[in-house]
Amino acid sequence: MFRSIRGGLLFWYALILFAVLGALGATLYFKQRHSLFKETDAALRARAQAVAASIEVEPDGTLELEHTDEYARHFTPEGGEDDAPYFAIWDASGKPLRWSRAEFNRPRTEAVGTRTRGSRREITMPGPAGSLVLVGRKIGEEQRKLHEFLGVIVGAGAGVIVLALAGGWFLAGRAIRPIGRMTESARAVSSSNLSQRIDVARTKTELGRLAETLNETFDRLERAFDRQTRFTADASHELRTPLAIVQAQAELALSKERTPEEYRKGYATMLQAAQRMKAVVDGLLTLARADGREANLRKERVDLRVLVEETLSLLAPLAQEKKVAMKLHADSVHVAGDPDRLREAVANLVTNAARYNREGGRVDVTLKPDGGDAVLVVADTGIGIPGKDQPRVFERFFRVDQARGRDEGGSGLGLAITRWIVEAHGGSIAFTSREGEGSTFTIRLPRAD
Amino acid sequence: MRVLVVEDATPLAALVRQGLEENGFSVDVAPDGESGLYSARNFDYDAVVLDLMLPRLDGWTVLRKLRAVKKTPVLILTARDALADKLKGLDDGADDYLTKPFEVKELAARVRALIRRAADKPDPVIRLGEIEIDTSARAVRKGGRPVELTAKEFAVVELLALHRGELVTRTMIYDHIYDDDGDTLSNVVDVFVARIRKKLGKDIVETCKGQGYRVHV
Repeated sequence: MFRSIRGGLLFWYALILFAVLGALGATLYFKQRHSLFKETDAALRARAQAVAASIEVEPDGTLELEHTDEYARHFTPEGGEDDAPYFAIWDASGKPLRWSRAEFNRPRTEAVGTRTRGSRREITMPGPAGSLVLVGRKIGEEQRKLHEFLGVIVGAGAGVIVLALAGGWFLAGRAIRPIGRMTESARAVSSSNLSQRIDVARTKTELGRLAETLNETFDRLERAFDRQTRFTADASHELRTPLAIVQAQAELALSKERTPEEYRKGYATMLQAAQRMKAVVDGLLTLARADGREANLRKERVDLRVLVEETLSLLAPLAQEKKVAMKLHADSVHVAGDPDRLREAVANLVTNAARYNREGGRVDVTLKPDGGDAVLVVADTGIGIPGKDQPRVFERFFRVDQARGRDEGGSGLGLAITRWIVEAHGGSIAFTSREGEGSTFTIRLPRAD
Repeated sequence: MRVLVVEDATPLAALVRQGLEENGFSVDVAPDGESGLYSARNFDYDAVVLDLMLPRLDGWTVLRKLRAVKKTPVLILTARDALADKLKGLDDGADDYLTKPFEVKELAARVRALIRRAADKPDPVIRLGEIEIDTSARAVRKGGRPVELTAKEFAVVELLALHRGELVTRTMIYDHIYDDDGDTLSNVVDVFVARIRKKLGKDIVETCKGQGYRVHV
């Protein structure tokens, strides 16, 4: 309805003020009018009673007015001073008996009571023997006073409304000024300048809470943006080294004639680098799909024991290369899920356990049911994760040692992907680790037996 | 010129070594920050090519610890391309910054430039009388006619010319033209000097008995 809060506030303010002042003014006016007429009415009534008392009923039933002349003197004679009181008497038959003004020289029709007729106030009351007495006078003076009073009320009311609206406009402006400031601040917060905040210290009202809420939102936005920026930078770093290998290798190979053996070696190097890049790109794609919620996980009944056995046999060559003994103790447990993803999760954990192990070390994989869960434990006797790094191991591209695992072909995304897979299946992943002694990763998945 | 390459990605380290060697450098490779710092501290390399993301000790730490004791020119070769990383690297004492991926030719040229600047001889062409040594093109001319030198011979000439007027010991020469893998005897230096004298003239290199050699301006 209103384009501005200020205008709306003012409109309702004015409306309410008008109603209140109107009611007050009307009350005052009618009170004043009543008290003015009360005096007049009392005087008229006394006079009317006197007139009524001076009516005498003759034995033949006719009415006579006692001291007629004396009383008549109190009233204006016909055609006399206009402001003086006047009277009229009618007998029971309605015939005018006496009157001080010609206009009453006609049958009575008037009812008993008080009334204002034009600028006159009149009182009518019953006299003896069914007669009717009317006394009245001009009330021009009272009406003038009343008009004057009405003028004062309307004038004062209008003045009060104007003042109040001006004050209201000012106050409403003050009240919404912080909104203007907040709008400016919020507008200044952009993707290139996310550190800008609304000054909360200056707004300690309800708007202050709004500002704090907005600031918290901006904080979350900034953190999300930072994460995104760091992630992009990390992804770029991960791809740059293999890219540098491909480029340097190609440049060197082409710089002069080489032996076939050198070319072969060169291609092998470039292939390895390309595989590295593929691993990173695949991981990024998986996580992008996970973020975009278009992962399309299948839901199948999977025998985890079979899946783990398959995965371990695929990783046997790695264990052999690393001179690590891999052992499996598995009970048959079924879960509902996507076998490819689950295989990936298990492979990531076992690969890490074998890769970051010591020569002659062990990787123990156990699978057993535990209540409603299937519990998979991958324990290694490897180099472990230092305490300070433990909170960050599930972060994308986080590596315990900045360069650890890069040469081995790790993408730096394995644990991030594993955690996503496990959680997408309604499970949880946890680990314990001691530097130099090894790490134990535990996956719990809901059973589907 | 002898260069230390501190790089943990084995295939890349091998390629950098090959690229620099084909540009006339002797190259040592250190696969992590700790061994890189050790080598850089204990040998007088003409330049160090340093990666930042290194195992054991990151590149910035290596740089700071090296700068505390040595002014060997350092070129940072890294995948980190953010401005903040470049500023940090250069402000921590690096002399140049190159991001991966890179052209091998550019890396070699930058390392050569670093070495010239460090020797306070920024002109790539050194003139000794009628002999002109072009360190960029790796060519020597005598009286305007090109003289054929082997890579090692050129390395010795280049080293002597960069330090012209100064005494250059046999050990220095040996260290600058052979990398760690070299198992050659130390008298090869005398053999090279003899060949250089034969190609460029007898007076070009002066022998300082029992100490080494000197080239006069």
